[in-house]
Amino acid sequence: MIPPPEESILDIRGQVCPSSLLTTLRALNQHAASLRRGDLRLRILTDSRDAVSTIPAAAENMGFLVGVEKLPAGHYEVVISHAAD
Amino acid sequence: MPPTERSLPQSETDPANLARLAAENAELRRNNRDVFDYIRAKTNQLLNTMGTRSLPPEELADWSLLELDPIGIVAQSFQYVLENLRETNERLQLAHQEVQAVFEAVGAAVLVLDPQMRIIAFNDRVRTLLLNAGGDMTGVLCQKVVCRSKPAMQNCVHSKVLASGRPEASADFYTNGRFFDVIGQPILDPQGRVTRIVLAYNDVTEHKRSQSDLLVALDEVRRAKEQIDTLLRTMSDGLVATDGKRRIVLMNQAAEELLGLCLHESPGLPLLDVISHAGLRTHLEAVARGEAHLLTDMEFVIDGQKRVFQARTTAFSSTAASDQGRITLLHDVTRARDIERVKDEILSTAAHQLRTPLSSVIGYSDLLIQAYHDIGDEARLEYLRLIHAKAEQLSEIVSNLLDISRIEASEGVTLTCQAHSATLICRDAIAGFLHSPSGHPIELVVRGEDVPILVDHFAILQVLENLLSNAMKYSPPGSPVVVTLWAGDGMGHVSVCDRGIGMTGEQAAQAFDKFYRADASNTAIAGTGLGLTIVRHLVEAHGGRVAIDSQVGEGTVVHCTFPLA
Repeated sequence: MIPPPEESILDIRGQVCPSSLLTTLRALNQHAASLRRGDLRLRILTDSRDAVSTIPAAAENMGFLVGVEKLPAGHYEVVISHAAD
Repeated sequence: MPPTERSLPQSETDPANLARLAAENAELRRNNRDVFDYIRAKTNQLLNTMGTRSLPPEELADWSLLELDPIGIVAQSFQYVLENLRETNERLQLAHQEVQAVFEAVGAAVLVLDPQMRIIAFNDRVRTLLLNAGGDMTGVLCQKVVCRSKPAMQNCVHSKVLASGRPEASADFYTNGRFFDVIGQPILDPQGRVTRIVLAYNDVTEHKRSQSDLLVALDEVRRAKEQIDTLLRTMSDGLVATDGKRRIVLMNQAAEELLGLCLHESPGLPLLDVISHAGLRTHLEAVARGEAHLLTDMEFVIDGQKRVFQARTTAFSSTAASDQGRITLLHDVTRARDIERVKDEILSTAAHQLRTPLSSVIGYSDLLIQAYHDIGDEARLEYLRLIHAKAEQLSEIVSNLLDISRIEASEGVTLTCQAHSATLICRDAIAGFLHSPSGHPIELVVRGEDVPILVDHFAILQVLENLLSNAMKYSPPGSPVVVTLWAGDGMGHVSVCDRGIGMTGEQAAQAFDKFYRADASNTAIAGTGLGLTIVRHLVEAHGGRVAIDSQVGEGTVVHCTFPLA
């Protein structure tokens, strides 16, 4: 049985500086190998509307699968995992 | 991190020095700002390159530019983007090769067209199935090479797909001597517009041919079945077929009527469970035991009449011997058995009838041979007359036997009827008896005018001769015989009247039966007992009737009717 992937949560709520996108990209770069293997899933919590469009675009171009969900608390959750194929 | 304040040495507070330092500071700040702007610009440039929006300056404070290293982060991410692009490219390449392989390997002819019907791509099957031609057709209008006829163009799948934006199909497209089922599939751009149309032509010529052959074969099977059904329905023999477990699978109408069963109620039932006829049960049980006698006679009563049937059971071929079905045929042999019986009767009667005159012939001829010179001329002549008379009698017996056997065996008589004068026929018949030694005067009485009758000349002569012969045999020599002729009730009537020994009512009732002789003890009167039987057969074959009116000691009248011409 394949074990479920580990989850790493990156909470960047309330963060304007440094950029949410760059913080996320730095985390993606760090965990790229684990994410690609499917060992890890990255959950990013953000309240920046800009980030909700920039982060998925960049992550998808890097070959990851991205899902965005608005949570009842008012912030967003961007889930990044290995590519669909 | 914000800059911290510090106290400066005295030499550095000199105004000129301060001014220089201020200028240097301003220069440094400018340089820093240029560097930060450069870093921001390059970061945004990289972000844009990897498909992401630029970052607003407030998201990257000056101090964080150095600490965060955005160019480093984005450049590394960009590396992953490139890697992803390379992998995607490889996958696309593979997919393209797969599509190309399918494109060439597929049995259908495939055309890829643009919305203007220009050929973008096509596989090899297009050449062999649709065109029978070579050369590059890319960019050519498909109508010029595929749909060259008007009817073909009217059913254009390309136009249908272009209009609907959905997959479309068309059956029985005919071109190049072949039939195709055509399927059209649109390829849409992100805005949902049709950019390409893929047309697949599936060759269904063989399929259609097979279908047509199958229909012909089915029709033949149906006709053969109809023929068998008709044969089974119309055959007079009863037929019952059973499977390997002796269950009824088929029964024709004749068998249904004979056995009092109905196929619709009996299929699948074991035959022995539904058959009540004892003879047939015995036959089937014998067959089941494997006994050799598979032909059995049995009686059935049909419409109150006894009829004889012969049951014959045979196995019909099957792959497994244990699963062999059987067919039981019930053949009506009543007539054959009747004929056999008649033949037996004729044979035994013939032997009996021939023996008496033959004994006389042998006796007298033997006497003539043995004592020829001892016998006087008169006696010799008398013996010869006796031999001759017995030979005549033998001839008549043989003739009657042949007649009755022909009449009985062929069930009815073949007549050639024509209009004849009853008077002339009667005269002809009477003429044959005028010189008989018995000396009976024969009178012909015609009431009214001559009667034209529709008869077979030879048959009617035989009837009259038999009647006259009987009249003379059974009446004293010299007594008159009267033949009367008249027309009435739409028929011609002939009666032969004698003043002979006559018959009782019982004898008269049996007079027409085969081999019946009213006075069998009187061997002096020669006869086979067939004369009146033949008369009745012949008269009835003409559609007439025959009746006897007789009184013992007074005489007999035989009365016949014949159709008028």
